[in-house]
Amino acid sequence: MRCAIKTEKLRKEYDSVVALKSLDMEIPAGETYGLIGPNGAGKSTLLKLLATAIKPDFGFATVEGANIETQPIEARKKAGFMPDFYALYEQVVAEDFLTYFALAYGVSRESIPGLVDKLLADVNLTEKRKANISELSRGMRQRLVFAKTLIHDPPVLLLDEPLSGLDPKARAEMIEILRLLRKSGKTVVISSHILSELSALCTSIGIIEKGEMKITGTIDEVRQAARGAGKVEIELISNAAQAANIISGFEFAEMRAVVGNTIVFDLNGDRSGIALINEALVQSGFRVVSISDERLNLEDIYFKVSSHEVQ
Amino acid sequence: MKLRFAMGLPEAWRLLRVSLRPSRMTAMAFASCFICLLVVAFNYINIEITKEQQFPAVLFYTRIAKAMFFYQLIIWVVAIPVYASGALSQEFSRGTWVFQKTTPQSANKLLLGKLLGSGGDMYVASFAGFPFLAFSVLKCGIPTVDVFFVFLVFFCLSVLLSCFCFFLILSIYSENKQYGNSWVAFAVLIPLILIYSAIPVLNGEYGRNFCSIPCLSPVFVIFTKLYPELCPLNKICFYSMKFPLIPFALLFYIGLAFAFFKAAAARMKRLASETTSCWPTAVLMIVFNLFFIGFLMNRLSCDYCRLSVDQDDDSFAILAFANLVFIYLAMPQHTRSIAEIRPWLYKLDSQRNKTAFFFRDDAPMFFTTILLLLVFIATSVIFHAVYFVRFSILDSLLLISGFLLLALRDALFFQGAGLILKKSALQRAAIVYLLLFIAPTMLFFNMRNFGVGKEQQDFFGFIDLTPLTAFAALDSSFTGFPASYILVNGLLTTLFGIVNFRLMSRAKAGISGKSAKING
Repeated sequence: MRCAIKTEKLRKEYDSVVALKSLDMEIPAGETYGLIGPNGAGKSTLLKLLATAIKPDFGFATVEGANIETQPIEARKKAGFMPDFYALYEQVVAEDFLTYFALAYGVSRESIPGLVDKLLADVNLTEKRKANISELSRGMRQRLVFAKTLIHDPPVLLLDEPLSGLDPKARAEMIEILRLLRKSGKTVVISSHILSELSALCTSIGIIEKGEMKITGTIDEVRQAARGAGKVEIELISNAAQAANIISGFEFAEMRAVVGNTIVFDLNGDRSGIALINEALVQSGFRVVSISDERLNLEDIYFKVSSHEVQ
Repeated sequence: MKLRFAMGLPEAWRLLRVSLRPSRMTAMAFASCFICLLVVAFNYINIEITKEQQFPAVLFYTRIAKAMFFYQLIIWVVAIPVYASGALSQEFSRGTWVFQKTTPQSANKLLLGKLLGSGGDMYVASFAGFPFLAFSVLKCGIPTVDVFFVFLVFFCLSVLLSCFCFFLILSIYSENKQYGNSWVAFAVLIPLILIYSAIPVLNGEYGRNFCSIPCLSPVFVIFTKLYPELCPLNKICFYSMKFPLIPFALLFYIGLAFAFFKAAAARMKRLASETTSCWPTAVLMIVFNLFFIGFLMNRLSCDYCRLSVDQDDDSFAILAFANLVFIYLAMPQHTRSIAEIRPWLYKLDSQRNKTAFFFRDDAPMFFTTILLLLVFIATSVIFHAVYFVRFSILDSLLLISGFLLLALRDALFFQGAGLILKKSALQRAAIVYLLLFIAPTMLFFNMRNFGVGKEQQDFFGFIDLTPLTAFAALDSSFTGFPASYILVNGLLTTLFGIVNFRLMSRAKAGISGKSAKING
């Protein structure tokens, strides 16, 4: 699979603080990747490095094949960056703001007016096109910067806390846009604290802490790794004790208890084990009422993996 | 206004779109016309004539023309650089720089955009005031071509000062603190303009004896061009050759502006995390340094000007001091900070086992410049031997080597302070430097006696360590540097060099440990 983003032994220090230690990471093209971690973990530093806003002390990284150190201009053309904290040109009107960045990214002059119209419409700011940025609310500014990030149609989007400061409606709209972008084949890297929304958006995640990547992969892979031996409960019509003997025969199942007609056991490995057990029980004539397994959501995974220690 | 012409420079387009809004332009034009009318009215009221006398029209229009030239001078030489440097420093102070540096715009384009686009308001003010100037100039008979040249000087000087401010702002910018204050640039710039403009005037004869930077001050150039009866110097002496003043001034402004622009662009590339090819800039900087040091040493070839070599003139001490400000502003920029050295050390550690250089490659290159300067010295020494009666070759060599030794010593001092203090190193080093060198000098300074002539031995001590001492050779009572001077400063330079080397070795040792971990 083609890598959109690749880092190797990436390191960044600020004075005496090590923001990123030695980060190895690969994000396949087309993924929507959630970057999760406590404050000061190094998420913003990683995004800034990928956006070539800062320079690494050691190691290398590529964005769509462009090395951020040796080919920064190429890397900038291939990435759209939305920082977490920023200020805007207060006296500039919204459409001029987008036109300026279109010119700066080398978009052809003929296509700029149409492009600006489309992006303003996409982020629901058409009515504010002639308004000074100083007149826009926080959410409107956030959407304007998001539109700026898309102005040169980059294959990679680096979004640092894109949902913060947005009201629920604007947040839902932004998530919808991000979904559309995912469908269009763009690689999106999102750093966010709002984990419930990340889980709805992302196809893969990475949990970063103290400048180190603790765990990375698709959500299922990470969930599996985080869960370890997950608890499974199977409820039968009757004969639970006999059914427990069958389950004990599977290597990946570790019996915990039989409570009434419910069997509780730990499942090692992926969820296909549950299907195998279910099949064996049905073939042996047991009547299964329900199966439930402990399914970790993104917050559970994060709390399990992260120790919440800030450097 | 669509401003399609400016679209090739997006930064200029953005700035002009804001400043050239009709409401803003109208307000600015109105304000400008109002100021000009006030000037005219003030001059009219202040003309004292009796009822029998005829209105002195020529005198009146001459005064108006002078006032209008100074009005335009303020717009171009003060206001436009202020706007340009404000446009750059606000990127840092407001926090918009992160957007700029992640666009693929080149540093050259970005700086050029700020240079040309930031003064939109002031262009309108200048344009609105121009009819007053044109009318008065026509009435008092100043040739149009001279007016054109004066405006050319204004423009070139405006570019030079803007580029100088860019360079200063980018030099003091700190990535961690997001700090790049344009007021620091003005705090340096405005006194410099005042000093350089005042020196020729203070000299009583509009600086006819000066052949260095002060005679290229804007005030001096205006007077030379517009009022030659007041200021008859039309030639400038440089490397023992005479040049016409105005073309030389224009060349000087544009040459320096280009050097500062390229240095600022190299800095900006570094700030934007771009790997810069240091050599084209470095070569330019060497040329710039030679040109610049040539000016500082211009006293050596003064016998081509009207000044008598034997003339005992304190003005040279003032001139030397003013030039000193320039070189000491540029000097700390030669050295590298630990933050800049760190990535380099990491790479070095994985490649070969050597320690880091002390000096930067995107600023004037000190050692290389010194080497080339030696060629210049050799040439100058021949001139001395032929034309100078007072300086021996040995004295000349001692003078220049003493000066360079001091500059090297203090560059190392600044770097050492940066390596030890780490945070806001330059500011703290400046305070230490002020206490260590400048304050004692001010306490004991005596214009007549600051030299190191044998009869002034009583003033040795701290003053002996200050940069001013290097210029003691310019004092007419100079009789050669004492060996102890070279010895003491040589020892100090070596000491600073050793300390810096140790500090860098320590930093490298720390990084080697980390690097081993990373690679392991």
